[in-house]
Amino acid sequence: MPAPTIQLQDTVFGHLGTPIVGPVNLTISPGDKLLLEGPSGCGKTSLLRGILGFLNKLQGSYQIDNEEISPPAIWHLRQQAGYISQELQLGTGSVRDWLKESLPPTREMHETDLSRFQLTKAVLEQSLEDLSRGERQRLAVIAMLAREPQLYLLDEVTSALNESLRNLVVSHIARTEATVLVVSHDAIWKGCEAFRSYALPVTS
Amino acid sequence: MKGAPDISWLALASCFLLLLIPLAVTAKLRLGLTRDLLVAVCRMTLQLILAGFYLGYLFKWNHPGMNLAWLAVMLVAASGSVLYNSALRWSTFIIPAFLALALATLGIVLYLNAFVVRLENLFEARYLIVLGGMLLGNCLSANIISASRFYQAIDHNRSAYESRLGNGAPLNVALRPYMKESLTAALRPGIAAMMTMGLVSLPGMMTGQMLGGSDPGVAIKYQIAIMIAIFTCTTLSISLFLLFTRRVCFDPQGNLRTHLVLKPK
Repeated sequence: MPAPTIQLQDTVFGHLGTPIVGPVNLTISPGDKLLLEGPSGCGKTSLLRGILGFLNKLQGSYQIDNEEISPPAIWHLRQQAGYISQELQLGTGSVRDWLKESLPPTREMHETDLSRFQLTKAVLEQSLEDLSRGERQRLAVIAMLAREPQLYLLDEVTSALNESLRNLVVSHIARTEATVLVVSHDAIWKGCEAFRSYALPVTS
Repeated sequence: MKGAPDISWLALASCFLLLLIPLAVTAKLRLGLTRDLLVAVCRMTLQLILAGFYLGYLFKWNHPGMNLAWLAVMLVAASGSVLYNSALRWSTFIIPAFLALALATLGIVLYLNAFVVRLENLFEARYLIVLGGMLLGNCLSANIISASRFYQAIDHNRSAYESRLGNGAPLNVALRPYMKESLTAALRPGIAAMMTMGLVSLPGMMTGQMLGGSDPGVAIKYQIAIMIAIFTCTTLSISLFLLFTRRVCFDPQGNLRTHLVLKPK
């Protein structure tokens, strides 16, 4: 299934009638790799949440593959998406259970998945609450990559990784054919040729 | 069956003398509970006198419609108090709470009456109202705990919830951890109670029956039946409650409608 085309025209996303981000004008074609930029509070995170349907469209148009957005289209988009939020809450319970639920049903957890991200099997026996921020971030990335999403929505996904892991994540994502939207203060993304910048307009 | 010997009103009044002990303790330690304690004792006494009064009439008339109507009154009071003591919004939850408690309680009581006690009249006041009231009273706190926990957990962990949805989880999969958390919290006390039943605690219903002159061998059978019924009724009412409220509490995109669900802070 190819990545979707996303078109935002004068789109304002918000919650209960209160606008939070926008108006945004942006067309994202399959395979596009965008680095969202703008000062803190301009709504970069909210734009990702709006695209995923966690905020409602209040004004303008939001189309996926030339069709105006609808709840079924949102659920379909989420199935193609890989989303990591900056808050990195994974929930509670054991790492093993979390991974089992987060990985696609056909995909088993391999030891190499963990070792590639400098984790050992021991992490599986821990509970999510006991993990450091960095460990949670690596687990979230492992589960997301295993799903091979068509659309990546990444919010500060390298914030708690060391340099070699940051390079690993960025080069992997840059090489995929998937569409990628990145919000990050990490200069490594800006230095990556595959990405073009999109400056989010500042709203009052 | 010979009943328990009556207690004269004067003799009962002497029981109130015992309250001097808790009153002395609260006063000495300045717990600030004196007023609440006195109000609670008065309310308990008046409410039970009233209950004795209306139960006497209900047992005498023993009209199926009347009995069901009384059960409905208890259900309204129960669902109202579930919500009053929770973080949940009255207007969104009152009807689902009533329906969930009604279906669970009525279903279980009728099952008990039909297959366990084997009554000829399934709507017999002595069983319908007494057993129904007992089930309701015991399901209540579990319902409060579980429903508020469920919706609060999603609200507090919004980002974890969105992460699950944003990585393609269908609604029921994304809700699973919160379902699990709220049901375990609600059901655990019931399991703990069954673990120690008869060892640490002699349950009220069984004690009451024995005081009333029942053979302990009969009393324990009723107690076993009621324990199983309470646990099943709790599980059933919570599951139905969450099921009935899901459609209203989440929008078609799976987002929690916090403004409809939780009372404003």
